[in-house]
Amino acid sequence: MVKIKSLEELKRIKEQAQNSVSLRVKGDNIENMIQIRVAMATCGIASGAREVMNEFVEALGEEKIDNAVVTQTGCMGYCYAEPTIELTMPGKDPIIYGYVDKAKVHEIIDKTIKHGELIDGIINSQHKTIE
Amino acid sequence: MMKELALHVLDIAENSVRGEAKTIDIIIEEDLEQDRFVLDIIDDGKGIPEEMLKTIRNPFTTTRTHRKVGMGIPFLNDTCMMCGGKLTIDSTVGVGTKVHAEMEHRNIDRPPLGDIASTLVNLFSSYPDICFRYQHSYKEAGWPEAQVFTLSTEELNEILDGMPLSTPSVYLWVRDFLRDSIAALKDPDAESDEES
Repeated sequence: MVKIKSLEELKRIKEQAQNSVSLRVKGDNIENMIQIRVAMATCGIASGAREVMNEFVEALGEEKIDNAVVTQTGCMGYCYAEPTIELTMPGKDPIIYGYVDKAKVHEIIDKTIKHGELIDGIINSQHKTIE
Repeated sequence: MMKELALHVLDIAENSVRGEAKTIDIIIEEDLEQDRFVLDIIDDGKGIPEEMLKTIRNPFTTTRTHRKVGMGIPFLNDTCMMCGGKLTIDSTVGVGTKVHAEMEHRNIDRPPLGDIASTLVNLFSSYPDICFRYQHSYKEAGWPEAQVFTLSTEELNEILDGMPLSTPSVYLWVRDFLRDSIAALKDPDAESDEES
């Protein structure tokens, strides 16, 4: 017999999360956050963008990087290099990484996000965010 | 081609998001008795003009400006056709759009549903301003009625009370909750865990 979790449990998860992120400055501006946008159009989805997004959320949680938001964006026109992600570090111009897989996610977090080091796989450094 | 129907769900729901929907219903109906797999995605977005509806299955129809093809609807259309079903799209400008995909459940060409839980939590966390409502029903031959699971982001947001769904621990919990609840649809004896 399968036991199903109850939604009640989510309350506890929320309270735990609240305590651990309480250090974050209230009303934190999006400009002060690390933004990761995963391109999630047909091209990206077919090449594994959903798993890339999952991996980012999981890895950032494990690394306790609280000032990052992972979200989606549309197709940026680099369909040949999907899955692609757009990474914006606070105060910097966005950069695009292509051919992102699970291993690349960890490399991006370890090198670019933690140490500001650029790694192989940058597609276009003169990129402007699409709306 | 998409390897999972859940990827089609993500893709088609993205269309609704781009169509400025406020509410998106995702309904999956698995009826093994009637050998039917039905997927509905219903939104209250801006709708598709009649002219465009006529050519929407053509990959060269797209609203994008930085590339000339759109494969989302054509892919799903092909999958439905291959699996003894069909895709219908009803849309009214200013009211919304309903995408209805039908397949034979046991058709050998039908892709598995796949990781629908990841698809949903991706959508929920990326678009906090949109209300998503999910409904999944499952019925095997000889069952008196279908087992149904429903979840809306309204219910989640009520509990979360302002905490974003993209918070890692929340995101992962909701994903696992969806996985377990959907897996339990196939087990008529499943019990809800009310320990807390």
